[in-house]
Amino acid sequence: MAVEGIITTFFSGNVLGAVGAAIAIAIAGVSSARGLEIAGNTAAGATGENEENFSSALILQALPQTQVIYAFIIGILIILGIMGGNMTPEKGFLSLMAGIAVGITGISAVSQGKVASSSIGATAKNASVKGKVLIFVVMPEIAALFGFVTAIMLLITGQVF
Amino acid sequence: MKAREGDYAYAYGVVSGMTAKLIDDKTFDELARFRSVEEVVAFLEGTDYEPEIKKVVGKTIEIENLESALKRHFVRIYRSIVSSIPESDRKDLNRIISESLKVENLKIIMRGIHSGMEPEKIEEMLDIMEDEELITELTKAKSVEEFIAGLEKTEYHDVLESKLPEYKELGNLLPLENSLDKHMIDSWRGVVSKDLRRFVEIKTDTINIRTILRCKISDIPSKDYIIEEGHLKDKLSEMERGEVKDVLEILDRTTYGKAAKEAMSEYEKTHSLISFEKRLESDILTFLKENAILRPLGVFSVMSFINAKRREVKNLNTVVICKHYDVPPEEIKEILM
Repeated sequence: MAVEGIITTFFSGNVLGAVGAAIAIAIAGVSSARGLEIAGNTAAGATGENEENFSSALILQALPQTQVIYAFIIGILIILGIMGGNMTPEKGFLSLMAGIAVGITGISAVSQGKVASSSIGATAKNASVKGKVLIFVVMPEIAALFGFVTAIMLLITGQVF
Repeated sequence: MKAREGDYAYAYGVVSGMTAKLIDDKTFDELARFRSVEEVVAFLEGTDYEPEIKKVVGKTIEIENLESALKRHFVRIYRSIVSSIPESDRKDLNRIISESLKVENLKIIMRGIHSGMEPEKIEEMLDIMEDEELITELTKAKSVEEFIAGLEKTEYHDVLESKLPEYKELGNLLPLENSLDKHMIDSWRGVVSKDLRRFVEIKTDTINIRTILRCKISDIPSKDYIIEEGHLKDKLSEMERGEVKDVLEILDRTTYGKAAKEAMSEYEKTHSLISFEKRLESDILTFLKENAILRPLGVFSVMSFINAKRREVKNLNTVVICKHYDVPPEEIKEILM
């Protein structure tokens, strides 16, 4: 009976949803922080050498932040679903999948941080490439964007919020 | 702990910022056309060189002070970059750069003394150095034996002294130069970073190729001078056995094939391998540059910049000396690296 109770509790909609929200924000959060760290370190080095590098470095450095923003939105939507009090196991499972989708695609923030770092360096060497390198930095974002859209669609399909 | 890619992010930022301040070829052309050393100094006062230049500029400009100011600038920049790289690679990179600069300078001095050059001339040819006092003193040695004796308190003394009989017997600097190269490669053993190990292997190959070919040209057995390391380790004994042409043919089947092919046609025409040796050296710089582009967050970006800065300082040194001796701009442009 006790085991059955644990299984029922663990696979309840609320728990599954909460795990999904936590996965989303934890994985994407750590990845964004790592991406920001890499890009931020290059930005600091380039700005230290020439203050004029600050503005372009700031824009490029900020981009790996978006992954955690996507995850935060998905997390909030899942929590709203839990707070609505109608989180069935099916809705909970879809929320978990949404959390995994946005969380794992959020790992792209690390790669984006590396591209941002290289781009900050390229801009520091030659300021005229500022606009062009921005395109390179945005590219890894697409993976995260796809994950975000998929997560939203999963939540809409399950009528989670 | 090994350095991760992201650990180089700050150093890469520093190096990128500094790269933008490097003096480009166009500006060097203009510097070559400047009328006097004073004009060059005025130009440098508006650049990153300002702190070092200001310290030596008074009512009159002493050329020697200017030269050491340029070298001090390099040392300052070098130290600032090295301090920005991950701690795990710092010691190894420092070891590689400073040891290669020292060995290069010692070889220049030995060659100068061996060929009877004036100390001032030898000094002009020297690379950037940290132990300026000792190096300057060494250039004044009257013979190679005296030069080695001058190194008594250093690690190079025993290394060179053991090869002195061979030098005397052959009348060729090869045993001495080779012992310095071997000592340098030995001092690089135990390098932790995978990238730096790749660099050491390429450098070892270059030294081995050069040694084998020089030995063949001078008709000296190369066995004792080979460093049993590098990518070419398995091919070394085969290379030792053949003639110059055979060596180049073996190299043709390796990553050094392109350079070897060019060397072959040059050797057939002139029986000289000087440009091949230069090509091997410049291939190392190309290797650093290419890898710095492929993976900017790594030690190669830093090494590539240090080489670029070294070239800039050497070129400025050349401009200053040439302006001092009123060398025409066209000739200065030809001398510049």
